[in-house]
Amino acid sequence: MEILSLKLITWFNHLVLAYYFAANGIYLLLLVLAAAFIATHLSRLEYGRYQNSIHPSVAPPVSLIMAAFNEETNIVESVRSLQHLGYPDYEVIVVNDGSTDSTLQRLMDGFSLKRVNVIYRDAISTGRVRGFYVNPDFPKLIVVDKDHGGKADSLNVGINVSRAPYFCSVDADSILEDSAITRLMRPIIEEPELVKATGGIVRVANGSVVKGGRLVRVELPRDSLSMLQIVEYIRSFLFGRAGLSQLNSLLIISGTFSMFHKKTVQAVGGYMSNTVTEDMELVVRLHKYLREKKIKYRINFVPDPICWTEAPRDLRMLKRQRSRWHLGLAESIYIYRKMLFNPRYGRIGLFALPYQLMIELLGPGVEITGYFVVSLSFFFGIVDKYFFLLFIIMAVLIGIFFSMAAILLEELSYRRYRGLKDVLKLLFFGVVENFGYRQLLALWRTQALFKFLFSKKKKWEFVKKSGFTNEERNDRAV
Amino acid sequence: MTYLLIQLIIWAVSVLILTALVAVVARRIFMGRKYAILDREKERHSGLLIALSSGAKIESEKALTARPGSPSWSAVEEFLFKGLDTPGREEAIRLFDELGYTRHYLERIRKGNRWDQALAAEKLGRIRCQRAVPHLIEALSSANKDLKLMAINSLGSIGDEAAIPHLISILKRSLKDEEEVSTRVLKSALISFGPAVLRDLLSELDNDDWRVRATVLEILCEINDMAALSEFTRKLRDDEQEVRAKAAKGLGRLGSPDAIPALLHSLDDQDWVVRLHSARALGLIGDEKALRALKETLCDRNWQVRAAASEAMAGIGASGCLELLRVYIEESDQYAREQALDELLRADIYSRVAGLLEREDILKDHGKTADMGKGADPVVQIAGMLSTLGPDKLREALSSISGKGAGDEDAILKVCKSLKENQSRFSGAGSQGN
Repeated sequence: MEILSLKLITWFNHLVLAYYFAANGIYLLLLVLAAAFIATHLSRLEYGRYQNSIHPSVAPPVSLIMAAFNEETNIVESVRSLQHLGYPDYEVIVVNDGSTDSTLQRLMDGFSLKRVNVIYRDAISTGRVRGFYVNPDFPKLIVVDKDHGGKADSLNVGINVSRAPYFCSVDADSILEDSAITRLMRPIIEEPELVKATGGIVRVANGSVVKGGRLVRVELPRDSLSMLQIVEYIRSFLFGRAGLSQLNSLLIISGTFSMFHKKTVQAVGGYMSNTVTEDMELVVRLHKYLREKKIKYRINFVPDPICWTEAPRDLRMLKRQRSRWHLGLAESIYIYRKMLFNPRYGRIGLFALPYQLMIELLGPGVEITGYFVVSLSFFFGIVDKYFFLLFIIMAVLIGIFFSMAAILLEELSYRRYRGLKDVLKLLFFGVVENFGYRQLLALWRTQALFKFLFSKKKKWEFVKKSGFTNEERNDRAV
Repeated sequence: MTYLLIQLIIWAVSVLILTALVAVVARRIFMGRKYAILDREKERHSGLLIALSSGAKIESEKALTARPGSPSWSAVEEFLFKGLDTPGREEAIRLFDELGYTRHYLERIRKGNRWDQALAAEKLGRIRCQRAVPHLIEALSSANKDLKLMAINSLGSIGDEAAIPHLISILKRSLKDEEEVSTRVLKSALISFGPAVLRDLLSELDNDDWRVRATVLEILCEINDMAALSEFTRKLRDDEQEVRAKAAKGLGRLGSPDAIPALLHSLDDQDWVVRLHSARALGLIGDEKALRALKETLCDRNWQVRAAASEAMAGIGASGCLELLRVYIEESDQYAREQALDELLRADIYSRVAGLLEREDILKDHGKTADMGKGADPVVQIAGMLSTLGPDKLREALSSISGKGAGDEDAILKVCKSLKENQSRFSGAGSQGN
């Protein structure tokens, strides 16, 4: 029995090491692909200004859909910031998802809206719509009031109301750069038949100066938790998503800011209401539908920093957010488990979904167990010091390299943090995040996975944010 | 051996980390210096933009000459491009040529890497360099997709008519999937030529491929030239529904009343998209002659056509709203009534009537003259029509068109009362309305 246990532990130790080799190998591949992708994108960006000269009539109209639930703090500023985006033809649809605070009233006061009763046709089935609010002085804006039904239901209402062939989901607490839609639409304008969805980079706005719903100066925050998230976002977006996009294997485009071809989304039935992360579920469903119909398509990632969001400022909210994301990942993979390792779905079935399952979903569990089992095995002499050293290299040292490489990519590309001091600070947190922060995230994600597997209660975890203050550094203490 | 291997891995990873770290810092310092030099050069040449803005001729060209790619070259180039939006536009274009930028970019189109080629084509287009036209036309057959795209866009910006047949030819190929190039950018380039492109495009309206015919109509629609009126009208009888729909859309954009008979005929088209665009077009033309047919279209079997018809009626003006109100009050078709109400709410008829009742002077004027004949204010006619309704029906109608339901009973009752009190003043309008 004792021998069998020892064998099992040794076997598990090797499994952990094998996992790290596989995961780091894939990350390395993604890093190389991302570097090539970003280099190409940056070269093309130089002549991207040609978009300003194309005739407005050929730029497809876009509906920006903002689902708002209890967003009274930011809502007026957020909507106002959307009124002056540099794109020829767009409308803003704000869907008040049965807010219990004064979100609707603030919108009505802020834009002098008047109720109109227009006929609502739910091409995608949704919850009850209570009314529409408009003001001729803001012709681009329409506010829809509806019963509470969740973000997905609100976005579906927005799709039903939308009059444009493309729609873009925007979070109420996000800040868009003026050129955001133009940049996100570039792949669509250049390959309209092929590109069915595009997603942009989301950056952490904590610490930056926000004025009138616009980001006027990018600055680093003073608190460590926001700093750690900034490095994490850079790593996740700049080489994770850029690399996967290069392989047309993008399963997640952030719901904070992503563009979709409306007809294709309508064809798959819109957002699914009873999921935790509706954005990922929709993207996987689009892949499934388009592959089954044998339609040539691309879901593109645009690596420009065009959307800024507020990251959680305390551990409790961060835990909630990450648990929700992981629960959503588990749910999406579970729903589409038949696509896993299925050659019918090409690289989505054979690479993208297995990658999400093995590396992103199960990885944190292996990682956390690995820390305990390998350390104890070394302590009790089950593995030798070389094995333990190799484990540390794979678990920590390579992690530091990936963080450094991501910051290098940022430096080579967008350089949004201007001072040398800022870069040194980023590098410092790139090292620090590998000692505690990453492990903490892995622990929360493992807990979320257990919750998915064993708990019946999978309720939406609401992540409370402080909101951007006007005309001052958005920099509150944790 | 194992230990050595592990040592090697540690060293390799550490070297990679340090390399990345040093690269980040070195790059930051390097870029910092580069931008500082660029800023200095911009400062040195800032007089150029001031001179261009004042429309002055630049005499000291030698001081602006620089090595391609140098900070000074970039600074001068930036000001020349900015100068395009100033009174010194022609001078900026001349300097672009004189200082060697044109020559440099023409060479880059031939010899640069794929991105340099595309960037050169974009810049030559932005400066509207006539000399670049043959090179850009040649670039249309390049295998470099980016260069081709930029060449198309730049040819549109320059506007040299020599490029038109080439662009149309590439458009036809791309519509037949023989060429991978964005049709949107192609359309944009052709639209940029304006009426100059008409002759070549009109000859394509009998092309065998319906996609070509439809796209040509789409471009013609944006150019919006009356010379295409007869062709748009002719294409309303095309075999392909997409072509007929684009023709209807184009006629709406032209806004000519001459198109009304053909569009009225198209309201009975078998395809709903054609009916929809015909209804919209009639709304854009805005002639009351179309009201009767549009009113009938409110009973169309397709809701989008009904919506377009009601929108068109409201677009025609208050007389259209009067007809919508009549549909809401008198029509038995539930869908037509709902659609009419939807549009009346959008047009905010209730507020306009309530506003009218508050303006005593207008009422007096109308009361005095009692002239509700032709040319009278249609809002007065709407008020007149409402005032003839029985009390219950009036309250119900006002409640619906106000969008407030029972929520604002007092205000509605007040309007009811006022309408009834002034019924005699509206009598002419009421009979006119009826």
